[in-house]
Amino acid sequence: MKHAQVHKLALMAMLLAFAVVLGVVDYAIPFPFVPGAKLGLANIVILVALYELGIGEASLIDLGRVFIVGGITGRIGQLGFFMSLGGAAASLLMMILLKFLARKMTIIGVSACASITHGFAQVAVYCLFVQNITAFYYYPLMSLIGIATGILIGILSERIIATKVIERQKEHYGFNQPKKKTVEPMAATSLIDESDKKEDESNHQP
Amino acid sequence: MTSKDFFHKYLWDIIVVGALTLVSGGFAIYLAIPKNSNEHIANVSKDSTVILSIDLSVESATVREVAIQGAMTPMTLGVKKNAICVLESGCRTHDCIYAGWVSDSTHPIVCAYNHVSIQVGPKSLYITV
Repeated sequence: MKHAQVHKLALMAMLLAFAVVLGVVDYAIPFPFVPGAKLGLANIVILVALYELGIGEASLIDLGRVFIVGGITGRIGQLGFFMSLGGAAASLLMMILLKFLARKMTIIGVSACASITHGFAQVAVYCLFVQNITAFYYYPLMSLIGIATGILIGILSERIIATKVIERQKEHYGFNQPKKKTVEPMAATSLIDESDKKEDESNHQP
Repeated sequence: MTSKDFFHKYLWDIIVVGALTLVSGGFAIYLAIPKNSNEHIANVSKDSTVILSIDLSVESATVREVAIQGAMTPMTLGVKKNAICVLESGCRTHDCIYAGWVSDSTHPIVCAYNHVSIQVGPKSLYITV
């Protein structure tokens, strides 16, 4: 059990490292003409963590990423950091809600909706911070870009999950496994009884 | 995967994302339509306060430079007849500079780094929360 937890922790640390690298790359790629628009590459890791590991693990990786990328880029305490934090928290919340409530939606739709929410939360944080709603003029354009990038991120996440790279780790080290259904004693005895009866019937047949 | 399987698998994604795209696209088109206004007043605000109001209709055709102090770095605005832009800013992405010349309320200029926003139009268009 302890061994499995250590492997799970190592996997989470690796995913966090991936998320940080993708976050820094994302920060370095400017998206001209629409302020605040980003590709959201780090969301690949968050989506994969949410679908493969769970809510707690995905939340830890997401918030850890925001703080580490904020520290690397020197933005902690600045408006940009709070915009990132607000966007990350809101998009994670949307992912969780859609994953568990809208079960008919796939990871691609969840990703697109989370991307829109991310943009909305960022603009909302900015407007609250500067007490001015002018930036909402950019939101419709930002959400259109968010839908496109969200679909792209969703497709990439779906492909990564389809490789079963984390699924194999889970099976091999035995963490985050679904609980096995135990056969109730009554049911077990009834099965035995039925098989005994069949045997008896076959023995009595001429 | 056949098209039938594709639509069966992604039906709800297509419905939800399609609806969101239509709503966002509609708003984007509505906001992109230039609003005719006889008033060309540029309201330059930092955080929640208007720090500068410039009547662009009385400006000359030649570009005049106006220096303002943003929240982080100084900024230089370019002002000419019925138009305003950001010429220099210390922000990293330079989104405010890329916004170019603005002459109506369709596109405000926002510099998130310096907490500065510029909007052209009648004074009533400026809304604070």
